[in-house]
Amino acid sequence: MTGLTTIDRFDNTCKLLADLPKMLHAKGIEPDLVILGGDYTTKGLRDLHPDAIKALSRLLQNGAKGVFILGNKDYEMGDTEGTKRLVSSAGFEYLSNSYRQIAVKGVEIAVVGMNTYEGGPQMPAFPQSFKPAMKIVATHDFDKFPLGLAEGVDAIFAGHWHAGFDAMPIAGIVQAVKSPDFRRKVTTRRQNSEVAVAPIGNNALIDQSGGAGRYVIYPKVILGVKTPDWASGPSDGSINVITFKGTGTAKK
Amino acid sequence: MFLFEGGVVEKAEKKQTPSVLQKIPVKNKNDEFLPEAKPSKSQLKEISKKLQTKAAWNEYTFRAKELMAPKVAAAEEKEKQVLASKQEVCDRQIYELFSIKVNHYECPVSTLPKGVEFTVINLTDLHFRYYTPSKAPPYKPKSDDKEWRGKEGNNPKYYYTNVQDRYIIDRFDNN
Repeated sequence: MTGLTTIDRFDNTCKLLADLPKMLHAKGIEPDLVILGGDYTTKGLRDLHPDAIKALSRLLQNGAKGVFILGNKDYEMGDTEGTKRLVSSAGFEYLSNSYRQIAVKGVEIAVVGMNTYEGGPQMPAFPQSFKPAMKIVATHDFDKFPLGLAEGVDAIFAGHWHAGFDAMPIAGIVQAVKSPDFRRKVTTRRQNSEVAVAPIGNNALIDQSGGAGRYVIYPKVILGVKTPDWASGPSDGSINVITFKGTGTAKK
Repeated sequence: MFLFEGGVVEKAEKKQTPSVLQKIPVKNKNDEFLPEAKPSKSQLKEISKKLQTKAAWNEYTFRAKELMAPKVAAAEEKEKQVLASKQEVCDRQIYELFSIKVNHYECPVSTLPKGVEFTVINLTDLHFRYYTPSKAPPYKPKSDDKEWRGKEGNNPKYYYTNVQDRYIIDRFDNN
């Protein structure tokens, strides 16, 4: 890869991305999928410097697939097309109520990018021939994500909330779709910094406290980094990585 | 005009350098002119005039480079050591920074066959910030980028001073 030629100044996000692939490799982590969850800048495209794009592209250098969605800031700054163009140029595929099919050792996985801003979120229909072993969703603002769309989803990756949540992944949380106190529960978990990683696709984990309502397995998984406070100290942000490990008996 | 330390002229004489070099002002180790070697105003004028010939000037600059080489090498070595020291600090800071920032979770999935693993990273809300160097004019978010960058004074590369930033760039270059 061509090195960076310009001498520019970056924030800590670029510092992170500069070392991230090497650091993950050192920890034995080889990502299959990198999700960019939106809000690439705060003040517009000028901050999405070409060298930042190069940094993003490095995340895929070992063969990982990349998808991205847009966040509220990307819409508020106006130039969504420019953002799409730049992030796409780093090798990431833009998803907006659409999906990408990813094969891992012959197993198909669906990655859905949910757009909660433009036209409202919708679950794309899969062709009949496509029966993914896992369906995961990337969305920006989880508060705008209709819980009804979570049915049948194995994992949801969200962003937007920043402080207090990004360092606190919750996986395998089982909730009733119509549970009136769902958001309160999420909030409580967030404040308590509870981390719960539980098996997905296991009926034994369905929450029995919700009465006779319709249940879905609702794994809220992982939030990404939080950059604005990184400059103030290393304890403010984190990178969360999750490895889904198959426990099934046979390949589909 | 180059000024040499005492001894240079003598060395030059031994090598039969042009006579003009004998009149070049010399300095001692305390950066003072040696009285006996200090040329007069008229002599300086003459030296200056003679050095305008290509041969004299070539000889003069060649000698200057040759004589300065050890000093330059020593300065470069010192600079390397300083940079290496700073880089080491940066390295440590960055790895300390990162060492507590990766949370790796594992989640069993019954719908995936045993032996299949799928690792996902969610990098959201990156909020890239491209800093304007402190010596450059303040960035105006609403201004046109091309217009703003088009002015030489606004080009950050002319103002680069931050060692850590340089270090980051190097890391990209070397990987």
